[in-house]
Amino acid sequence: MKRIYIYSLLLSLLAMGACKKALDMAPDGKISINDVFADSVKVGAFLNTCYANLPVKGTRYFFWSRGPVAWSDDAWDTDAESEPTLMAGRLYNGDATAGNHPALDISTDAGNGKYWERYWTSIRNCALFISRIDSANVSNPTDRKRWRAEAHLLRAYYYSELLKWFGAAVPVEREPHNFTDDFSKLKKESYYNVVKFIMEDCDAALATEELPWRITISAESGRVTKALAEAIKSKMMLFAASPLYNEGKNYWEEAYAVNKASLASLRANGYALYNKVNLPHIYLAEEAYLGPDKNPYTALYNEYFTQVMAYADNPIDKETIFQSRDGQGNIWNIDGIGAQDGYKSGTCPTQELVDAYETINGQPILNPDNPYLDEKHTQPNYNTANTQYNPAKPYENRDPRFYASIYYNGSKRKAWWGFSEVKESYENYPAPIGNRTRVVATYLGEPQTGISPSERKATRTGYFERKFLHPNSGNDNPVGGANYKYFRLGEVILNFAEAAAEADKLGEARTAVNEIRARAGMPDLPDMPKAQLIQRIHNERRVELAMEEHRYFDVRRWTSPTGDLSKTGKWVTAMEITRKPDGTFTYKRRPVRETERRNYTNRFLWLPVPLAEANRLLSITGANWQNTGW
Amino acid sequence: MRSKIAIYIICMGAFLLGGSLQAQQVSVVVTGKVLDKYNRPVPGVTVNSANGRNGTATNAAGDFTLQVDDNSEQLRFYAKGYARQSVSVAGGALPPVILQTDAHKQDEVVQLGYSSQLRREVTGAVATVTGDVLERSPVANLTQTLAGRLPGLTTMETYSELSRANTNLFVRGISSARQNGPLVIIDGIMCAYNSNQTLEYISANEIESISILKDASTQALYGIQGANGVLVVTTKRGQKGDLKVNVRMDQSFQEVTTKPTFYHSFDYASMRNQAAENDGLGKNYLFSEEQLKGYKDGSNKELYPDNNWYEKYMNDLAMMQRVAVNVSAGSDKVQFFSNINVMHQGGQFKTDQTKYNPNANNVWVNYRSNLDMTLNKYIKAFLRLSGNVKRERTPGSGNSTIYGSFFQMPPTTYGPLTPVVTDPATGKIINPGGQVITTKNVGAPTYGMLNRSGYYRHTVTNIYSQVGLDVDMSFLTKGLSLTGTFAYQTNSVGSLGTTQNYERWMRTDDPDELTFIRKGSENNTPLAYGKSHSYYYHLTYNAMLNYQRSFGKHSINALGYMFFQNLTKADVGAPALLPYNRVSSGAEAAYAYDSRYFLKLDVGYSGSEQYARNARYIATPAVAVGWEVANEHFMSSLDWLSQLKLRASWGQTGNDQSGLARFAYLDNVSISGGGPIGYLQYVIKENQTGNPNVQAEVSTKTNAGIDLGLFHALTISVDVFKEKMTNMVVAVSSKVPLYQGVPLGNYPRMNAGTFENKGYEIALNYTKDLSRDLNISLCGQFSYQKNTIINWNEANRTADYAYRKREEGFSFGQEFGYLVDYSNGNGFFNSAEEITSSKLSYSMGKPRVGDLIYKDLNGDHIIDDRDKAPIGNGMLPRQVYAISGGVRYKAFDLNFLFQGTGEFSSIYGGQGVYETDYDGVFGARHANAWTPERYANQEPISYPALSLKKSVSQEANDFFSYNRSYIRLKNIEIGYTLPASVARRITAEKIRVLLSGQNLFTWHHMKSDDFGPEGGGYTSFPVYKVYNIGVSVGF
Repeated sequence: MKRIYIYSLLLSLLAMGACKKALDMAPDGKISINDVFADSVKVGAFLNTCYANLPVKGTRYFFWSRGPVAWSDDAWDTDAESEPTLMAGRLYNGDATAGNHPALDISTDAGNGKYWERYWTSIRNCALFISRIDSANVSNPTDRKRWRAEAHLLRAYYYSELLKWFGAAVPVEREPHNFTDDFSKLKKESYYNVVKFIMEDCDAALATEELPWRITISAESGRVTKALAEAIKSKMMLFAASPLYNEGKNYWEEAYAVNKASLASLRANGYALYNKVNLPHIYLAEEAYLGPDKNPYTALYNEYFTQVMAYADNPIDKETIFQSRDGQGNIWNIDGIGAQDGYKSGTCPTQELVDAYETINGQPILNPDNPYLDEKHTQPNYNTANTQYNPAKPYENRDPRFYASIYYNGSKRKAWWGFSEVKESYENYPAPIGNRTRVVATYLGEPQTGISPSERKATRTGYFERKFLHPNSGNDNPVGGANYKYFRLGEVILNFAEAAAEADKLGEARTAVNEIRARAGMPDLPDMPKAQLIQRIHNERRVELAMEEHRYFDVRRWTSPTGDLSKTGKWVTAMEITRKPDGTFTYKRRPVRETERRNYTNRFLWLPVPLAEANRLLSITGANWQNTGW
Repeated sequence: MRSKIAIYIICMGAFLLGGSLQAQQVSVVVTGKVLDKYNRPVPGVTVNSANGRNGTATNAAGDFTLQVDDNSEQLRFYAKGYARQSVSVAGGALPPVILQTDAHKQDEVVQLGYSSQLRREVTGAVATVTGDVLERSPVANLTQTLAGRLPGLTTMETYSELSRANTNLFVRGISSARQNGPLVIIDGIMCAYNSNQTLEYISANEIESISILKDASTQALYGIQGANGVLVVTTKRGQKGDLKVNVRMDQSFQEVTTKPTFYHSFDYASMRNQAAENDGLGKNYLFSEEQLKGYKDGSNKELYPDNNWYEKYMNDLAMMQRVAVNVSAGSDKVQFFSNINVMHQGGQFKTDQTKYNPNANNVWVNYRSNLDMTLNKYIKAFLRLSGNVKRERTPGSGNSTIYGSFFQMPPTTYGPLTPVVTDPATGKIINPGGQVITTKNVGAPTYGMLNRSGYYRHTVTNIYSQVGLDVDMSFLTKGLSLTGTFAYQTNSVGSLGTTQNYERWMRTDDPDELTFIRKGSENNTPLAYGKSHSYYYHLTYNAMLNYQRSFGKHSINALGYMFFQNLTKADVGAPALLPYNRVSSGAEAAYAYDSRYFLKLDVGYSGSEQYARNARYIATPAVAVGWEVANEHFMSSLDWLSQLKLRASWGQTGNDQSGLARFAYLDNVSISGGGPIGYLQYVIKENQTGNPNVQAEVSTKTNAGIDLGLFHALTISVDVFKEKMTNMVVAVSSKVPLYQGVPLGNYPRMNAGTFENKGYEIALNYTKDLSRDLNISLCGQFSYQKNTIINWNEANRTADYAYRKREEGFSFGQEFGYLVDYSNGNGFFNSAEEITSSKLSYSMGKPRVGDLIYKDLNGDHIIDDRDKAPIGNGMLPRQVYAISGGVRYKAFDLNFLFQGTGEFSSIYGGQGVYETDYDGVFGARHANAWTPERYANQEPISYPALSLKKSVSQEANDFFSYNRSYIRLKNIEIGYTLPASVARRITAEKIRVLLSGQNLFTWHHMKSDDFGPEGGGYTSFPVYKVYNIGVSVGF
């Protein structure tokens, strides 16, 4: 017996060495989520984290491309040929799978790509923030309320982006999850219900007195406002009512009401269209070459897109509702006329976009019912009512916005040109390297700016993008691209116009669209039947919002869920111009390339849910979450 | 802490008592002679008094003299290979003691890490090998000697750079879905970090034995470190007896086992042209007919070079010299074993840098001194010191990069240096030349890396030492003792780097002129010096209480231990720089009754700082039973049956190497300045989300075995095992969707996976003295193991996948790829019509004529990820086997070992397997690539149509799956022991000369001979074969 005591004594002595603390880790500077919400500065820091996945749009899709602009029929990306294994090149070839989709998987540069992962991360951060903010340590009640409203609004924004890209493939997630949660009960919500949830979040923000309508000091740049809440509501309700998403139900009345209210409160809180040239010494100078005749409408339109909204009580730019934190980089270098002294041309507007600009008398160029006679868009179906348009001089007498948005054959630009002219460039020879006025000639064989099937600094379509390009920027005058405008009042007005027309409020619709036309110096639309008016509103959106990432989503939402984009996206054309010895030109429409773009099929109406996630969701919930066709 | 104080007090007490308890002893002197059954003297037999205080060993003539003063009534005799024997003590000369051979090694001590057992008592699954067997392999690294020596151990030599060769070791395969090797225990201390490297610091000639512990009953004691198997290394101890000195010298010649194909210029150029033509670029796209003619006739080597870069830079043989000196002696008070081992390995490259020597060169010195002291009646002390100094020189770019670069430059490249240009009229030098030549696609040419990139000198110093006290506590109760050990390892690597850069030049495109232009902006720079350093240390404290006693037919052997580890790794970034701590404890009790019934109970209780307090410790119990049927009375009539032991064990053992980030139980949230909104100043970054419940993995293992001994000559052991882990740490990749918002990389891992590992081992051993002069032995061993991932949270792929799972249901590391459709006879698209009529479209590009036809497994006419099928069996060979044997005839001895693996394949790709890297790297299979002519002429076709760029054939597929089964003459040794009269002339006792070889022949099924079944593939150093001549002298 005695022995047993001794053994147990000795063993317990040994075992006591295993005192609990021996294996506790040494502090290494980690904090916990509880620590975060216990300190006002850290709570603010977590709100900052909620902002972290806001994408920088504009030119910041990989690699300095305009992403959805060039994936729609607005433009062709020169990188499709120069970097065929990247974004546009792969999409034009239809080379995308759920496991590897260029828009999702190429690069997560500047907040673009990996949307599914990133937006859900941010949505969870917002939800966590909302669930903890009331009990968190925040130094003053104003901050607490405003921060809470910001988190709601950011969540609404991330959700709206998920809906835009993926369609109705998402659940509604109000509360943050615990890692022991069971995910098997989850289901996809209908598009409409998600939009309702988004509007609920927006309304929570709008109901918060502490959330301002406008950011007035630049130190607060990037923070969200009530105006953004209205813009998101306007847009998402319009989307929910559109054919792709409405599940056969008619939500136009609701879309009309929501848009009307949003538009009214935006106007009531100081938002208005940009309506005059504020920098005439630049934009109305001869050397800006805006409009064939220093057109103030052209100038103001170009000025608006090439200037940054200031953060002030009463800014010059009252139209912009939300702009990106960062600028768009040196547009002339990566998105303008590559030949100037740049790296690439990037976005080349298509002939289809050019065709969408009316003549100055307000008449469409092509028949709105059936603009092209052939599948490949090489045979235009001219609008017989238009007497102003001359196919032999196609760039005369056009909508002032055309001249502000597109460089075409014969247009002029004064800037730094990094080469001396050779004699094949008849209009410009001779001229040395330097800052000078040059005719942007896009005809076949023009050695610098001529149309080319593969040259990265040339144009694929016969046109260059100018909408975001400062009229005189270049290597000797590096005016960066203005911050990208996510939302502006012009869009909200057009959202309202469309919803009103669809809801049979034709008069209100016409008034709204005419406000946009008037600002551009275009005559009012006359009274016309509903179907025709809707066509004209669609076209007005295309022109007014050209190259602002709307077209990609608009052509989709206007399509039925079983439809495809063969009318718009399958074939896009270039204007192949031939210069005759006498200096006159012949014009020939041809597909930009001989094979069609393959990203027009039904499945391209949505991005795929990333393969691994779709597989997981299938395993967990037993339901297929994948979008059709992927 | 308190326990340490307690141990200290007990030790001090024992010291004080030690003096006073010295009792009056009777002293007698015993002399005698030990002989074998042929009446030959047996040298080196240990002779110990039964009470253990007195001992000695027999000399070369088998004689011994021992003074017995501890009141022992018996003397015990033991020598390896013989049965233990006891003889009553009587003063004066004993009659000769005749030792019987122990064919089944039943009396051999089997080391189990913290404890040991006689083999006859072993109930678990343990395999052992002795150091003298390992010494037969003339190789630099200990891990290279183990292949084929231990049934149940899988060895894979994955990296063969001389002096850095790395052999991965797996005990019974793997116990969880990751590549975890066994825990190494050296002389009773766990060495959990860099164990492969730790083994590198020990040479075979200082090793007494190595055991591998394979079942739960032997692993459970080691708790969270036991599940991957345990490799127990026991170094030699000093023996009581006269001074023994053993010197061994070896000269080895090392030669690669495989050499990749290297083509002549003409063949290379033709194949490149052929590739271009296949790609639709027309005939003679890269080389004109005139150039081809130039390469073919070879008369103008200036314009049309034909360089074999491999031969230019690689010597056939690399030298290695080794000298080892072992010294051992002991009295009743002090025993020691000392060893010093010096090795030199020369380089294998041909260099011509005269200002410094960049060639690989290594000098290793390692030494060991094991000292055991009896301080007084109660206290023994031991000190084990070992150290290692390795001075390694490599070219500035490293040996392996250089080896891989041999194949990059085409044979058509002029070089390696630009020529001297002289004015033909005056003979004056216009351009001195001598700049390094490269090609457009090769960034760093071999010549530059070898001769103009400086060199590195790494100096590794490693100190490993143990010091401890062993206190006899029989004053409390008989058979009790307490051992305390402190061990430390410090390892430092100091690297002196001398680097330089060099200009690159390229030949112009003009084939008719030998002119060069400079490539890039690299410059010829002088040597620049740099220095770097890394360091780690490892402290361990171990306390152990032992109890060992026999009562009549009962015998008990028990222990309890506690171990604390504090390890600081070489990493310098947080959190890896924080010390790694573990606490382990455990208890073991082995009981035997009458050498018939055996029972062993084990429990481990251990934890690490990796887990939260409430999940930190796990208990790992195990039980084992054994029944020696042959010792039953009813079996005694069966004389031919010398052994029939049944063994069974069940238990649990743990693993804390689960691929978790450090401190996986804690959230890792950090705050930093910045963020998108400047106004808010800071931003929070959430990294890992902690799982407070995550804990060590537990593997439940069952083993059943039988040991059959027949005719006192043949031993057959069979073990069958099954291991199952149900709490394997897995990611949540299928259970948790991304929409919950925590990036899955940060999401907590959970103990939710299930893994199974099953198999068996068979070992046969036959040994027989056929006559006085002739002894033969033959061993065979075969082991089979198959692991299966039963569940690791894998999501089902969609229904259009041919295989909806790629991990679950398969062995770990299962490869997937396309299956080649051979239904047309050869698996290639032989015509454009075949492509069209197949209706297949390939997602990875357009197939050309001559590309592989893949099976459209899901029938959608699109070949893509959905059509991939399992290829091979996972990352480990399922079969491992060996046949070894030996013959001793008079003074000659011969030993051999064949070793092999089976059921193992891998998909290869990249340089030399594919033909498109750099300027085209062609391996053996490319010579007979598909061409329309070869197809039309029905010639053998060994490869798809060549291409200049990645073709659709270059995908993971079964065409590129190589069967890596092999059998190899791993080791052979022929020795001759010189007559004793010759030895005595130099006052030696024994001189033995030997010839040995390693990896001399290999038979395999690889698809080409460019690289071997073992090793890292085409661009890696191949496994070496070694020819060795050695002499060993005993004094």
